[in-house]
Amino acid sequence: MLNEIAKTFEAVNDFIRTLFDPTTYLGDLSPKEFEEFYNDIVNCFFKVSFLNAETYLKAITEMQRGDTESILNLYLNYISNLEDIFADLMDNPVIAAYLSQLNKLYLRSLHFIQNLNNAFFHSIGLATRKDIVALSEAYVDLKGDIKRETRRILREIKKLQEGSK
Amino acid sequence: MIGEYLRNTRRLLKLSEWLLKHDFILPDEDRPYFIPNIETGQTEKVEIFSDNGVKLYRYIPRTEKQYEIPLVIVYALINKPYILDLYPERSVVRRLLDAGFDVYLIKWGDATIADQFGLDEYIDIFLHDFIEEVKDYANVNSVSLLGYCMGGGFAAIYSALYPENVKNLLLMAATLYFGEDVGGLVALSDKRFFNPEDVTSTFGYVPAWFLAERFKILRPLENYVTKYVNMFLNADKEGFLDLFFRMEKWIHDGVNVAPYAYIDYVKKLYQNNALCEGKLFINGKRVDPKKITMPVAVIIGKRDHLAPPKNTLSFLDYVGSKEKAIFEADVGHVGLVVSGKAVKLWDDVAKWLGERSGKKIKREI
Repeated sequence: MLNEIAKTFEAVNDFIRTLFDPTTYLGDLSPKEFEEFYNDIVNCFFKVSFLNAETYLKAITEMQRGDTESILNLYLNYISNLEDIFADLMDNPVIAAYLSQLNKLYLRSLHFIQNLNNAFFHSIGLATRKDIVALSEAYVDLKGDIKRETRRILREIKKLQEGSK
Repeated sequence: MIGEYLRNTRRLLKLSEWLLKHDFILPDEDRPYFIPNIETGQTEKVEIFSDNGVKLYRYIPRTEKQYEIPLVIVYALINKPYILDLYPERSVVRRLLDAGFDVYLIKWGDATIADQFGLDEYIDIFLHDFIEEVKDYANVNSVSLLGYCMGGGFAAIYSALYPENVKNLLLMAATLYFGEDVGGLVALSDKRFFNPEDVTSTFGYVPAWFLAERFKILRPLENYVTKYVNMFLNADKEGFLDLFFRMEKWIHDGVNVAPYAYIDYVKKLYQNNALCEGKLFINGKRVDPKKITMPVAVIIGKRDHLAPPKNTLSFLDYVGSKEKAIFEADVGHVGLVVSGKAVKLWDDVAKWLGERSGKKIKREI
């Protein structure tokens, strides 16, 4: 019994660890990229903290002077610096991977619902998005073929015209 | 303190007044935004050719004589081209017309589920036919191409396939080189995680809102928060709201992209750098950047986060041209065409292109 409990506890532990381990979902990322991500996060935290402290001190000075225009400029400058810090963070592959996974989750859920709809509409004999896409693909192929043939005919006419001169 | 309250009240009143005076474009399934319907793209133009919703326009010349070689603007598949002609004082098109160029524009149109086109069709059918049409219309053997953003990619691919038709190539904030060091959208499109087919199989095309949000997420704080704070703080400045909402309209009033064109562009270019490495094939023909031997100019914004300077600049190392020019300004992706800081840049570009566009002639068309 104790052995069973220990095995089950181990299985639960493994499952929770896998569930919360980012490499489960982003396994293609290298450990170096994760390291970079953690570095970037820490850097970002310190940069924002430093910027906040700096702006706070400057704001106190400006408030004592009572110059509202300078306070406004200080604020705009703060926002602009903050944007740059966050923009730098967005370049990280782990962030890109998380965003892509969220994106994928949304798109695949939507696709699943659409497939259910398609199945229902097909069963009652109605055309669906799939049919329109198939028709359009055939049209694109046809258009390409016609263009190719037209150009070939035009080239041959040109050759004949040049030959007759 | 009271002064600041009064100033904020004034800002709020000005903003409310502006909103009351303007109509809104209602949201739809592809553009779920309330878009202010402010006038844009006012320079006069005529449609001269059309195919499957893709249109070729000629801008009515504003000078008596124009350079012999016409200039064709190849816009991106994403968003609408009126950013190049946002309003008369900040119009790149008008600037080029005033410099004496005969300007044409290719507008790709809004793709639907019935437009399953890929790069093969866009380059080898539409772009090829449209350039031939301009050549016939203007009675010339070659044209100058100006490609903006993704349109820069199209212009470069076309120039490599049909160099005899291109006299000069201008690549503005163009997405061409996709090394790992580029960052931005290249990082976000990492092939390990992003599969463009997930988008196209769900919608049947790439909806405008998807692309708008994808670009906005690169600078989330700026695009979702601070931009609107800044807008409020500047609401009482003369003309500020007009410019702000014109930009808002352009950002949110995008176009859908044809599915295979998007898949091809992301998979082949963004994820495999196929254009630079000479691994791209269009209709079975290899696209070799070394065949781009005409004069090439790149126009870049130093603060561009959508097409970082490296995205465009590094492509110059791969082309076969001997004549290469770089024009840059301290602006972002859109700032290149709307910012006052880029005015000098466009004068330089017009001078460079003018020197390579033949003599000025009077056209009877």
